[in-house]
Amino acid sequence: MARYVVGRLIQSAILLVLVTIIVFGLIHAAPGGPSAVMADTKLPAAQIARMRANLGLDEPIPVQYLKWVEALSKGDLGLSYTDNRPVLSEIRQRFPNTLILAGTSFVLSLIVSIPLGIYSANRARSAADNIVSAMSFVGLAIPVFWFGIVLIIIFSVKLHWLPSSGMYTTNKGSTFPDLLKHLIMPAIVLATPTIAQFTRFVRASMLEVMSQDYVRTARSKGLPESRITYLHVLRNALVPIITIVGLSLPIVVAGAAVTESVFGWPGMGRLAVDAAFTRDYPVVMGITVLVAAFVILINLVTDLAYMLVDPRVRLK
Amino acid sequence: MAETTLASKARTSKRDAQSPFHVFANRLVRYRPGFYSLIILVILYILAFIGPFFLRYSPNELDLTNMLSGPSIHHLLGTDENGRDVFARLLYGGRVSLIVGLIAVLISDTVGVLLGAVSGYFGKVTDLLVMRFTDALLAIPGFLLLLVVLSLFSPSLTKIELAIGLTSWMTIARLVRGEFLRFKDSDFVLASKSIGASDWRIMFRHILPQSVSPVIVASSILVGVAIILESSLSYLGLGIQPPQASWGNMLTGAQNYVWTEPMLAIYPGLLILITVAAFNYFGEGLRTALNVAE
Repeated sequence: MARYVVGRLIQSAILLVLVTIIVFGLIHAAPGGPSAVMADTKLPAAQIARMRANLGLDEPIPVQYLKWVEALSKGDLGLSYTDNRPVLSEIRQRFPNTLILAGTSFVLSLIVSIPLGIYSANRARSAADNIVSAMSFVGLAIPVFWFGIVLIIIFSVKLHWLPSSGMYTTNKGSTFPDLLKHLIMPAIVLATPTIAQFTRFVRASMLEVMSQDYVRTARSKGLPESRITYLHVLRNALVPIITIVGLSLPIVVAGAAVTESVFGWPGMGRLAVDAAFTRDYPVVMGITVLVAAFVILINLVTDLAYMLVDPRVRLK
Repeated sequence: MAETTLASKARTSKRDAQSPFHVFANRLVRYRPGFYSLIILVILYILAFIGPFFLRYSPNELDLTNMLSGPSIHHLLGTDENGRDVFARLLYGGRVSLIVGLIAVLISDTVGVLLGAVSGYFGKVTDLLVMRFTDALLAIPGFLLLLVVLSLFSPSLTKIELAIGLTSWMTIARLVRGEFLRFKDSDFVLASKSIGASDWRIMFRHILPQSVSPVIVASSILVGVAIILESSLSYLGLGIQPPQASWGNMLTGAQNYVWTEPMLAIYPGLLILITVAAFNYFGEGLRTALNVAE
């Protein structure tokens, strides 16, 4: 067991190093990278040379990489090209907003998809199940940004119920009910693809457990159906949910970038999109590496959690 | 005696004379949602690629006396904020989305099949290197990876196809690697080896045809994902650049007019939704027809 844990830790570390190499390599080795942007500006040649030297762009790529990683390990992500502020503090300022949005939609996804998945698994191949399945197909196919605009049309333009953008109403202070009103639409939009995915997954997982012998045994000894569903099937069916929670994280982050842009939500995703626009490489790189590190960490934690929950993994 | 058995065999095989393709086509048609999706897709492709030849307006023709006009006999779905014909723009925008999806997935398939095959067939260090690289790319959320790549170039149709294709081959590679691991020690591979077939020949003439079904199914789903990615990027202004129409960037313009002309924002998104759902359902149909496990 200790060997397994150590092995997974080393694997994760290697993965993290590879991620930094890929991101750095992409940006610095590609034509159109930082050097090209520097050459692009209409500043006097002497000033460009000074800037290049300051940013270390004159050094060989491997040296630049090592310096970048060294700074990275100290939490220094460099300065933003556009406003010269430390990238880390910009991210730190935006991150809580993304966390509020992503967290809410994640909880929403679980609250909706688990009962829905159970419901349609219990009625497999019925009309209700078909409707749920069709809806989850739509949920997976719906473009997030368009769904956001449609909600704005319905709830802001037509009904005037909800604000169409931002996190707080300007000049009204930051109150919790105000935040909640701004949060509803983006959270629903962001949750939609995850709800669809989770529902399908819960349903499939439930159906698989239902076909097992011990469920038949439970049924044959006359246990009530609800007891079988919730105590015998659900508990085992929920184990694989741990995996899907970890795997869906990148999807939520990606969705957040688009959702935040639609609703003018001041989060990290929108920061990344804006930075890609202005070719602010330190910001793009910083966010990408941090999110990837987060994904690797979550995958590690889910694997370890699996080991604790499921003895079969431990023994392998 | 021998002749009669042969004859009876011939008769039975004639009665259920079903080529593998026949079986495949039958099953594909029998899964209704998948079959209807195929029809919808064919119609969409025909509309987008042949339809524009019959149009009265070009998609970029400005009609400044007729901005934001509603549907009329002249403009079937009205005009946008610059007086451009919305119907024409939808058809031309469809060309972009429908072609980007296919080409991006062709690129993903090529890279994924090559790397997956090499990794699964040769194993050992090759496998380790390729799979670690794949895992690292998978750890970076695809959309962020796309943002990194697209911040390097000024976007064009080809670059977007390449960017999406080169950032979404990982699932295909894993799939193909698994299939190669499954087959590489089987008898038919051993037989080809024993008569001196080259590695290349064994990989691509013998093993690959066995593992093509799951790749086809995954590709159909990936086309939908690629279309969503392209339209999201175009919506954000990082994809197809105006004035060239795409379903994504038509929504950027339309969002500014939702207060007065909400319908402008409805059409392009609805078409994306229909297209992507159709590819997903078609993929599901292919899955049943090709007998691929989920």
